[in-house]
Order: sequence, then structure tokens, then C-alpha cells
Amino acid sequence: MKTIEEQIRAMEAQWPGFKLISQADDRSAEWQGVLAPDKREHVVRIRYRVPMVLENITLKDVQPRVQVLRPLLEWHADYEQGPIPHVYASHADPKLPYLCLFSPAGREWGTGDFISDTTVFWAAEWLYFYEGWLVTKKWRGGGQHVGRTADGVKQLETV
Amino acid sequence: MNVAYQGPWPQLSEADASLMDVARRIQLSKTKHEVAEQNFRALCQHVDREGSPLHKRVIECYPSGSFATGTAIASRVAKNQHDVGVVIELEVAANTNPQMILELLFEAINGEQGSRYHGKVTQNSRCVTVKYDDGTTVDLMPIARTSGPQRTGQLFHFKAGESYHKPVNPWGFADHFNRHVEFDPAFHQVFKGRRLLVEGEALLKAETQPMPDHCPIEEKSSRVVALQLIKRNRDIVWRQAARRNMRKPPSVVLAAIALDAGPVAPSLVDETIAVARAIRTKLLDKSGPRGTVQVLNPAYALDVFTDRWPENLHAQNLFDSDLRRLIVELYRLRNDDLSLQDRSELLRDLFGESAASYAIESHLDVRRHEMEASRMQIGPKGKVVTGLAATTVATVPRTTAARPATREGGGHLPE
Repeated sequence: MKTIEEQIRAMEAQWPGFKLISQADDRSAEWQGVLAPDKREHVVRIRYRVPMVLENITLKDVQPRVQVLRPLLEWHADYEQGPIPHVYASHADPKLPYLCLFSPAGREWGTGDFISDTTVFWAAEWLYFYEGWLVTKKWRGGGQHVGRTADGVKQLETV
Repeated sequence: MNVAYQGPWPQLSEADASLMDVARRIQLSKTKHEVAEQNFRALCQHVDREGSPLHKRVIECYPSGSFATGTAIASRVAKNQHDVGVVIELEVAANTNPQMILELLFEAINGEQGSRYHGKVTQNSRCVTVKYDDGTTVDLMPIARTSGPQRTGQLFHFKAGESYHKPVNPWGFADHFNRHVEFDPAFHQVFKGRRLLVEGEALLKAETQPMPDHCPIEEKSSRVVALQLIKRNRDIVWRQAARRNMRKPPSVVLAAIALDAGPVAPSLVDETIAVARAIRTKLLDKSGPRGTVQVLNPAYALDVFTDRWPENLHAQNLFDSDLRRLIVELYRLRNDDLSLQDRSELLRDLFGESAASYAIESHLDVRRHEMEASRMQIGPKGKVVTGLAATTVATVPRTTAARPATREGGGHLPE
């Protein structure tokens, strides 16, 4: 498992444009930076808290939280996989959903991974296909299909 | 879990890749080619059937124009419609009254009420057109063979107030074009590689299929593909209401000029610009009888390709300005770092909505294959580096994600 200091050092080295905004405690960090995978710049926030060894927490819950602060992600219910493809809802701020960047059930990311080697790249890729989604109205970035419950809320499928 | 594409990964610029994607979308599929061939052969047999006014008068039928030179494109891409030009050689005197020949051909095809083509046939000034239920058309142009180089003939022109014969040799031109147009094996490899990359799974399927005996000309020659793109742009421009009653620059004129455009360029963008420039240069010529350009059939100089277009200098200059705009936009496609949105708009303006959408979706599909194979190059600020530039990225310690990942989503995450 990587410590928060190791994550911070790796982020500084790999993504100097991402600034460490805050550290709520000695296990947490919050970065903010700009990703422009196509032409448009997106201000992105990444929050991460290293779990305690004995904490009973799933990979889905421990994953870094990635949100696009500006410009806000557009919602298009009539586009393929709309209103926004591949996100988790945020109850705290529905306008800032979390990007779904990997399959927790497939264990494609773990606490031994550097955010700088995985999450930031995946966020850039996600935003690139999001830009393509805005142009074509089709999601061409691949991924798992999600099921929908009777009330229309998306649910993760078992991998 | 994503399945990584295994290749091939052709090296080409994004501009070339976009034009190749547009070209594939506007080309006729092998199936369409086969259906078109079946259609016109059945049509010719129908003309020659017992009881037809032209029974035992049909010498031979063969495709002409774009269909014979491999430069055919769909007339309506979204509906996959195309028009086929066919020459029907008739055993009649070359000086036969044009009105009579065209009317006989119309009657021979249209037949009796309830027969196969009845009600689907239109008589035009030089041909008879059959429109199939799927919107596809076949133009049958009757000619009478004359003495001269192989398969020379006279076409029959008739419309109100106009009746004449014109010497032609469409077979000779197609043969000349196909013998003189340059092929580039390297282009074929890249063009095919791009298709496989976009389609992703095609390589796996193709491996189990025998190699086709005949490689279509439009997959071998960048000049042919460039001509298809120029024709597509012409067709899109001619959809404007202001052009509705104006004659289009004939494809055969463009093809004849393209043969003189010099050596083929390795890049499809550069080749398309070179052919468009060659046509513009030719349009400086005003030596024709109307004070306009004159283009002759290189296989038969009596066959004047420009006998009906340009009608006047205004029509010639109008097309020249279209080509100028096409060249400017192709330079922009090649030289500017366009956003997906800008690229989409540029391609849509030049080649139409369906072809542009296909090109952008193909671009995104290729990026997805790269991502899944850990080949997507990410530069500073998360910039996705594409095309040839992707091979030179070395500005950050790592340019690809440590491993590919599968997008998921749904439900919510605790804060």
C-alpha cells in the first residue's frame, strides 16, 4: 500500500500542474489541476484517503474521487448512455458526479498503485471520450454496461 | 474486461486518417458493386429479350464513367445509394435518329404494364434511367459502334430543340485510365491497415478468410481515392439550393485531368490537394469553343468531355472557387491542431454529415483501441497525442497509463 506522502511525491513528479490543495489529515490529500485531452481545459479535483489496514472498506469505496469542477459536465439524457456516461452520483453535490475510471470488481486499481500512474491518465482518457460524446452523441470509450433498476437509478453489474 | 486490439497499427497523420475514413464511408461496398453489376446485366438482357423493340440489337453492355474507373461513390451516403452508368452498344446505323433510339430504348425497358421495370424508367437527353426500389439508379446510354479505335461509337442526344450525334469512347477512356493511374503498394497497406484498426475485430475475422483475388483499385491508388473525395465535395456543394439547376462538373472530366497531376503523393491529404490543384490549373485554360476549358478523351480525341460543362466562364470560375475552398480547408485539416468539434465541422462542410460522423467515430474507436492496448499517448495537461505526433512524445516520464482500465459507473460513492 502506498502512503499518502508517496502519492504526493509521485504526483509532484509526474503531474506538476496538479497542485496539492489540502491535507485534512495525515492519510488524505486533495489535488486540483487542469486536464485538456482534446482542446478544452477541464479543472479537475482528485481526493484520496489512504485506508487504515484494519478498515473494512471495499475497493469501490476506497478509490480516488475524481470530479470535474469547471466547466461543469453537460447532461444530455438523449445521448447514448446519457445523461452522463460512466459516473457515480455525488449526493453532496449532484452537479459534480465522480468519474468512473476503472472496474473495482475487476480489481483494476489498488491501494498499491500510484494515482499519478493510473487515475490521472484514466481521467484524461475519460475526458477525451466525453468530448467525443459531446460531438457524436455516442460513447466510444468502452466500458461495462450498467443495469438500471425499476426507478431508473443505475447500478453496477457484477463483473 | 476490455480485449486489447492486436494491430496492425499503421503510422499515418490524423488528417490522412480522417480522409481515409471519409473515403471508406463514401465508397461502394463489394456487395453494392456486385448488386450493381447484376442489375445492369439483367437490364441489358431485358432490352434484348424476345418481343423487345431492340431484340437482337444489343451487341454489348459495360460500365462506363466512375464505375469503370473505380472512382464511383455513393450518391446518398446515409442510404448507401449509388448511380451506375452503363453503355449499351446497339447494332443500329450511327446516323439513326436520336429521338427514335432513345424512345425505343425507353419502350424496351419500360415494357408492358406489370412488367419488371414498368414505371421505373425515365428518358433523358442521352440515356434512359432505371430507378430501383432502394433508390439506386442505372443510366443506360445507347451508342452505335463506329469504325475507329476499339469500341468507338456515336451517342444519341435528343431533347426539345436539340438532336445530334456525338463521337464517344467510354470504354477506351476507362481502359486508358486504369492503365495509366498510379498505384502505390505502400498506400494500399496503410489504407487497409487503417480499416482494420477502425473495425478492430476485422483482423481476427480476416485471418480465417482467404485473401481476395482482386484488390479493388480504390484500395490501391491514392489518386483514385483523392478523386472520390473531390467528387464527394462537389456533390455536397451541389446540394445548395442555388446550384439546383446547374450542371455539375462531370466526373470523367475530373478523372482525365487527374491523370496529368504528376506523381502520386504518399499522403492522401497531399494527394487530394495536388489533384485539386491540377484541376484548378487546367481551369485556367479558356481555349474551348465557349471560351471555357476543353478536356478531350485521351483515348479518342474526337470525344470532347467538356461539350456540356462548363456552360460558360461563370460556371468554370464557380468550380474553381469550390476547389480553392477545398484546398484551404484541407490545409487546415493537415496543419492545425483541431479539436474534435472543429474537425467534425470541417469534415461535415466538405464531405457531408454521414461521412463526417463516421470519420469522427472511427477516430474515437481507434483511440479506444490504443487505450485498451496501453498505446494511448498522453502528453502534458493530459493531452491525448494522436497520429504521427504520438510517436515522438517524450516530455513526461510516463506517457501511457500503467495499465488499461474498464469504465464502469452507476450508483453513488460515499463522500
